[in-house]
Amino acid sequence: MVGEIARYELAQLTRSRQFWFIGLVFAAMGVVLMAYAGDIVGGGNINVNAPNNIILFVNILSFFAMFLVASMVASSVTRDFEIDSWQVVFSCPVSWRGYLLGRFIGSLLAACLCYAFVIPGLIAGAHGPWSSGTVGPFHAWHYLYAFVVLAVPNLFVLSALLFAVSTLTRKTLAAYAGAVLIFVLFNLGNAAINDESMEPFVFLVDLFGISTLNLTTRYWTPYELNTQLAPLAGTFLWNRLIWLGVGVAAMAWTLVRFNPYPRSPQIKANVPAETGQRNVDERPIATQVHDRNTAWQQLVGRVGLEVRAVVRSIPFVVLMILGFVNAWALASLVDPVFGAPPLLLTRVAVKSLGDGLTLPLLIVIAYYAGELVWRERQVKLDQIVDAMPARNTVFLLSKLLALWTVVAALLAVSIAAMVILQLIKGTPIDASMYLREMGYRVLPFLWVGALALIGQVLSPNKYLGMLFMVIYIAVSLASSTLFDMPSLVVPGSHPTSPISGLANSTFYRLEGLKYDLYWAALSAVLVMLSHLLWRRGTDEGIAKRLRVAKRRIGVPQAATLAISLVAFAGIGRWLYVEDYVDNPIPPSDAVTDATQLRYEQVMRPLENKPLPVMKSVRLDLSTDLQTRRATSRGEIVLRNKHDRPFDTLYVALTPLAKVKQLSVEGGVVDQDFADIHVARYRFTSPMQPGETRTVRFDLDVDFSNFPGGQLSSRLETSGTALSLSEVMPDVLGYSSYSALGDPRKRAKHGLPEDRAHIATLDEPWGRDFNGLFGQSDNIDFEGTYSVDKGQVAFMGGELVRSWQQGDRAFFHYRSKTPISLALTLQQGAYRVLRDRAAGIDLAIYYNPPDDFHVAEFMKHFKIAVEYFTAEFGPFPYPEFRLIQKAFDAGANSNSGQLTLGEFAGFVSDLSKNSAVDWGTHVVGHEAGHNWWGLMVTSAKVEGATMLQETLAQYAGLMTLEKSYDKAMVARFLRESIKKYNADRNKSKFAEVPIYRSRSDTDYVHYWKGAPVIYGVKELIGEQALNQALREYFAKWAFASGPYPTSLDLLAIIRAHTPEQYQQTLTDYFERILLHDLSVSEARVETLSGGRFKVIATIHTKKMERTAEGSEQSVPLHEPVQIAVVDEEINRGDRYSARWLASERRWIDAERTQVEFIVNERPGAVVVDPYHNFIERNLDDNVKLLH
Amino acid sequence: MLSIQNLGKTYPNGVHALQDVSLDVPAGMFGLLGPNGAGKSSLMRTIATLQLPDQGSIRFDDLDVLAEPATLRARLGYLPQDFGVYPGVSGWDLLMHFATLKGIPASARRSTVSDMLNLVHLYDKRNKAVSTYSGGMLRRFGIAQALLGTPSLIIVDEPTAGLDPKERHRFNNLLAKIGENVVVILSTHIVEDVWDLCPRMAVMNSGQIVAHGSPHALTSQLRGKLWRKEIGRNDLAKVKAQHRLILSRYVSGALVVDVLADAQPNGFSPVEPLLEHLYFSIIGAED
Repeated sequence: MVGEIARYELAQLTRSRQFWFIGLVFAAMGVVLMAYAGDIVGGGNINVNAPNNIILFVNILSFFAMFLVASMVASSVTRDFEIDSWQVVFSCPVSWRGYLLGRFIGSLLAACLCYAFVIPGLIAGAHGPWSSGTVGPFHAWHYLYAFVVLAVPNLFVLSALLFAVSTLTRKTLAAYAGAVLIFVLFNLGNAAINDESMEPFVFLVDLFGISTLNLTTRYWTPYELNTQLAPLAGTFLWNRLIWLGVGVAAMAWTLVRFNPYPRSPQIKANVPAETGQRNVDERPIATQVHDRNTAWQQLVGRVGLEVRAVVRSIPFVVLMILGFVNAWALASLVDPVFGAPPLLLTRVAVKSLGDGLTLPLLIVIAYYAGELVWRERQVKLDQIVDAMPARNTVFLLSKLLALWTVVAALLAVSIAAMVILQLIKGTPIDASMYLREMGYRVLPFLWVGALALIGQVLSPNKYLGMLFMVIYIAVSLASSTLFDMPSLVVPGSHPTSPISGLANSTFYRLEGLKYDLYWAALSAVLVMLSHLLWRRGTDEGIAKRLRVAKRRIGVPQAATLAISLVAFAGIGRWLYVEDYVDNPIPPSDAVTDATQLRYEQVMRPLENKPLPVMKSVRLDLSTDLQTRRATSRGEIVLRNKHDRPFDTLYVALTPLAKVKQLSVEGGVVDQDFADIHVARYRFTSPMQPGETRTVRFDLDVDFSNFPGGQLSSRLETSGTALSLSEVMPDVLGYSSYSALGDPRKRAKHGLPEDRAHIATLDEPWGRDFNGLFGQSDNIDFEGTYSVDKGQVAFMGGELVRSWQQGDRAFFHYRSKTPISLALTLQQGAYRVLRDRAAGIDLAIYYNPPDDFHVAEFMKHFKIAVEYFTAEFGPFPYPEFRLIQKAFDAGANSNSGQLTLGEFAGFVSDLSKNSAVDWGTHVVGHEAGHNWWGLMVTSAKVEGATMLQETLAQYAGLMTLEKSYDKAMVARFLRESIKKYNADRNKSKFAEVPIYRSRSDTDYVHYWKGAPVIYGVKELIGEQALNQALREYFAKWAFASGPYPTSLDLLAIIRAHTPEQYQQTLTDYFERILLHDLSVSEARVETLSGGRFKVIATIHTKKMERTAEGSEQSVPLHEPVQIAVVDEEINRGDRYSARWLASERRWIDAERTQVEFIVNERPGAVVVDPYHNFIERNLDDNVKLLH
Repeated sequence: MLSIQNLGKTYPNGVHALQDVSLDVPAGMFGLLGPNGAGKSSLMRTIATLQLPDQGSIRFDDLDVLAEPATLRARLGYLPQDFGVYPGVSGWDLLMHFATLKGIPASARRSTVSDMLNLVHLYDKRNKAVSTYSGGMLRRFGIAQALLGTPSLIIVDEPTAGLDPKERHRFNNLLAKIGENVVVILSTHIVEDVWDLCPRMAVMNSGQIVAHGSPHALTSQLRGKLWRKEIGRNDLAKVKAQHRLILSRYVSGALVVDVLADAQPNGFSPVEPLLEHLYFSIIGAED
């Protein structure tokens, strides 16, 4: 019997149009996902069809399967209640449990079959002509595994849960609420995984299995990811079993609890019978009035009714609770930079709400649009309501307003949740920022509401309309990779406005509002079309409705439609011209390939060719915050330091600049490449060796425009940071950052793989160019910077004088000692903290409210400067300043001046003891760059980034060690290694050893570089390493070609390294190795005299990445530190524990037994306590002694 | 006066719901009779602007109904055959809402709704959710909304289905009274009601008007042609074979048949024709 019912259900569903339609949509999503896989999951080191990606995609799509399940499985029984056929069903000789089970099995099978369309979609996506990225060989087994191990159990659990909810409530509606709950649970699971202490519990909440799987595979190497499937074992197996169990339990519960007889109606059953019935036999006569006033009252009445209906429904209450929980989950998800998330300031809360609410809001709109538009039909009140003398607009506007109310309510609840959390955490609440920013962020959802409305009006049923929105959601989430102009193409989207505690971003929102105006016009079109096509009565066919529409269209309707269409097209054209044609995106930020290709075509021939070098810069800059314009005037002196003359000079300009005057001494414009803003000047008499020429410029720079509609950081009310090329001509030739970067796109256009041609270590030519500015070295700089009163302005060199005149403030800078061309122009309304260290004036300029850690920053800044001047080399400038900049968490270093993004440490939450003080590391790292990168510039040879970034990491680590202790460094290194493991897999660029690292392989020189350079220090000692660095500095500081390479540094370090560690140095810098260190079988014996003997086994493995990308085991001879720590390890984190004994010993075997005698009760044995080796699993280095 | 010309409608599934329907409906009660699927509801929905015919025209006084549906709706009271309501909304709130939609000014709304609820005997239940009403109560609620305002065209599809006899009579009387000035189209299965209430009527079958006129005139056509006989239970087949059977029923356990014939058949006695006879003579006898 059960089989019969199941077969019938399956046949019914697979025969339906819905089945094939949804199936094909899933197939299409599979194709698209795989075709864009290169952009989603990297696609360089890891094949797009790597087993793990297949699993990931099958899983991502099972999100959408919730919709499938709700419409197929969850509604299979409720259908009988909603169409009242239950009485017939239950009067048949069928056991109702059998009936339920049959329906469930049949519809589950149908859902699985429907979902299976994903698989051919993914295969076609990977192996079709549209495929992006590297594709590995086809293995049917990988797809089958993903389907059977992930998709089928997921569908089963989802089905069982949603089936239970909908069957027991008899409402399909409840199933959708259940789907939202599952979504939030998944979010919480994801939030939890960010907190390491929660990791053991992730598999319990992880319905989809993907977070659990991620715990297994997150440190896999590309080779493993490309060749291996995550085994169905360990916590992953448990996860699958537990959730299958949950599914079975939900099914069992449904069977036990289901009562086939409907409950008696309970609504207001306890209201006492009322009296007051009068005898009325005459029909009351009331005049009907049909005017504007009536229409208004009707609209108000309808809105009230619709909103009440929504608000009183259980799904809404559930939604509000979930919104609350979701907001809290989001707050815990905020960007944990190295274990130190930012404080929950309003700007942080707004940002995480803005990002995290997008998907829930879209889902809510998709769902409620369907419910609202189809409500009368669903309750069969449509005929009465449709025959009422009220206009279509009354109905459709009331539904739209009700939809908007739900959006507003969810937003309000989420904000309330954040505010409560802020009150608990005691962070300052900025109510006006909530209003401004969230008000701006909610606008797109209003337009999407209009889109969802027309979708439902056009759709022949609710589910098709919801599916339409699901497709919209998928497209809009991927819009930035799919489209060059997403804000002009994807309905409802407007540019994201960046959030800052420094910069007042009103003008960003004003610019974004232009796009809202554009989409509002489209919404007006859609609402008018909804009005014309509004279902009034029982005719469903589109032909009939078009006939009705033709009749409904009168002059006012046609006029409204025409005006909105013209407005839409007009605003669209205006925005297109303003943001894309008149203000094109500069090549360095271009999203379109064309500009970048053109740039490379024109400029690349100049790469690595001798050019005139910059000797000095004079710059007079004046900015106006009111008009957001700047004038920039000055001159660049060029010198020919080569032994041959030059005929031409290429001058590039920012697209924002309007030239009032631009001249090249002795040169005339020869060719104008206007599309990339480059002009070629030809010298009337060639520039001879040793000769100097001056480039004079007078520019108006308009920062009030937004190229490409991108609301990017320019001239801000505070925290402005401009680069020289934004206000001045660029005469340095080819800049690789303005060329197309993506190697796959480059291959498509037939370009060499790398946009920058960097010499190998064997090519001597590279030594004549520095990695940053070709053959230009430090310059003499002088300039004035005029700003609005109340602002402080910074240029290069030292402040000579500052004065005020009227409502302007002036700052005059001049370099006493030549400074690097890396020069950031900054201005803002700052408060300053001053101090002195090593004879240098230190200053931190910061946003007054962001004073949480400024005093500590200064302390650590001092420590850094004192350490670097003592250990690396003298600092040539009298002042060293650190300036906060608006928006990001980035940082950079100029001669004597550091720039730190507002989220780079200034507002970190360091309340947790185990938090890494990321900000202090950044201060040390960037200050260190003054020595490593600016004073010592490296040659344009592979490995240059090791000389800049790995050494700056060392500076940062030593700042952490001297400001705190080695435990803080170890915490940092732990995060660093984790990041290396993760980024290596995401990267599009093949891995190289550190000494050959280049800017694209940043995961190597930053995140592998940190543990390696600190490892060297631990191995040969701080003194020896610093002695080597001092020698390196003395030899290469202020070189002007040839410049040093990584081999030069390595040679000096090797000279200070004992023979026994030479191989380890080779391992560190010249090989790609992965270690696996762990402790097992540790035990403790109590000896006499209060002493203890600790015995443990150390397991060691060493794998090397071969040239082909596979991995092989290599022989061991490793100097490994092993420590016994005290019992504190059971209380604090493992790095706070005190060492009772430690030893660095040579490990030559996979198993090594060690023994220690200690005087206190030991807590644990730890191998490699300071993470001097790169490992995947850092947790098994500790064995607790109980 | 409502004037329907050559109305035709075919549903996408191929059913010819209306075929060349022409009808003039004067002020007063107009009864619409016909078996299930005859097209009565289609016709009423079409007049009520809820669906468009494929061809034909509808005029109400000077109004082209198909061209200006909104104007007709302002004068319409409509009760569909089958309807539901929003869950959880009380009778008072829902009728107030309908009064708003009907355009009854705020000043008159409360008293109108109050009177109307009293009229249909639902005032005591006004604070209960309409979705919890019994079938008869829901029907009365439907009647209440149809009568709100001053409709000059009232279309009621089986208004008394599910009402108890007392309520049915009350409502019939009410309709009759309203029908003195306005057009009331009443579709029903209760032939007796049409006889009692409607000065004019039409019979529909298979999407066509097969008879229309005054019930009395139509019925009188059968006078002198209708004959009755009490027969044995096994003789029905024989009677069917020999005569045109209009009606057969059991009266106190005996089977009584009425047949149509120009001359009195043997053993049959004359019967005074009823509307029922007319109805079955047109649409064919029951089996």
